[in-house]
Amino acid sequence: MAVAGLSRRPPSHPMKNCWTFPLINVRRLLSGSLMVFLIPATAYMLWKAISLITDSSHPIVVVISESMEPAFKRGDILILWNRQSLVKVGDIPVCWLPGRSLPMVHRAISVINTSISYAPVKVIQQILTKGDNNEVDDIALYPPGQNWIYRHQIVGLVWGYIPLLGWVTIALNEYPWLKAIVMLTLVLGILLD
Amino acid sequence: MHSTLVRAQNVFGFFTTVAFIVGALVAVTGYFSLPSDGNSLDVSVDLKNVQVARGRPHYYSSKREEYAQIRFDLDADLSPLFTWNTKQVFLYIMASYPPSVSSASRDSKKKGSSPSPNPGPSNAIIYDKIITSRDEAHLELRNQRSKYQITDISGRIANRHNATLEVAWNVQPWVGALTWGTSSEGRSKAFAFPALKSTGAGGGGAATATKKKNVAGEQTMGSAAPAA
Repeated sequence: MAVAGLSRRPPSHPMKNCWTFPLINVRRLLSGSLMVFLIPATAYMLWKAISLITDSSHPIVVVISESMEPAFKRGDILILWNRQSLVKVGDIPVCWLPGRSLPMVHRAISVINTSISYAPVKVIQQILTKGDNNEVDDIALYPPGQNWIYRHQIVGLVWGYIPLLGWVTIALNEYPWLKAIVMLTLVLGILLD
Repeated sequence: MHSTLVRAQNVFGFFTTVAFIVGALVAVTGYFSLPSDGNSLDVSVDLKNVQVARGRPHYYSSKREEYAQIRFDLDADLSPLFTWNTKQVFLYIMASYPPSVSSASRDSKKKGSSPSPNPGPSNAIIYDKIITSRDEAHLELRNQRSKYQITDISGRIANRHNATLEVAWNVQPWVGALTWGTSSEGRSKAFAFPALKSTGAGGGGAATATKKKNVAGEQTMGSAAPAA
């Protein structure tokens, strides 16, 4: 039945109340971006939580060199714990020397303890390290004039090991285009869902 | 729902879940099948000879310092440490000797203030070995020369008493936690670093005849020259 003269308003779309520009729905874009940022934010929160628990600035490191083979190969992941106040011979400290871009993972082969009664730290340790796969100790690798490493230069002692998982990090660092592709895929995957 | 991409995603997700669970199981079961007490292992180390010489033992030694060269016997059976999660065992023998009295603690004794706490002995690894399979886990070394020379930060190592050799190990897993262990039997009897060789032949650790200075009360077990 025809109803002459009456014009019907088109049904209003629920999203039409927000700003809608042609092709871009701003609200959907904003909520999509929130989902995208959630991923690195969660990762960062987890990283900082682990840092707090282990008291280490870098609680998870990836092995880059072969100086500790056959124990640690390139691409392995090491988990650190930094709450020990004293280092023992045979431990594996990860030391970050001043001015270096990367830390060094070697074994402590010599530890000299000196007691200082007037300092808040009762025992000062001088630690010499050597990679298992190296012939000589690490003195050549220390900054000139420094023959020992000290507890405050140690970022943590190795207690946990996961093989091969670090290759993702190594690949992402050595091939920047790979990083771009991964980021793009993540962003598109969230936005298009 | 059944596109190639989704299928690939599902396979990959399943793979990572399974890998994670298997890894966790291997780590946990391997950790609990290691011997809980290091004393149950059969290890013993004995000092055979120690010599102190003066020279430049390290490639970086800028001045002559005293260093000790040790010969020892080792008996070790580390096969209980090899579980399905054991990748390698790092065996090391360390020499443990009392620290040199620092000038700070010497001053405090003079002034009569509270004595500085005992900082514990200084330790240095003199020998290490990487064992990668259970077959190699039985070690019998006789009159083994140490790999590394012991030097002290003060440059003097002669005439220190109450030193011991200790055997310790570090078990490296395929996945999971690293463990360290030692045995109470794996400690040698206390010995003393002898006096400096009076021949004055620096720069070499050759086993020439040692003329001992007569220091009273010295444990002479460590200074006996071995039959080569």
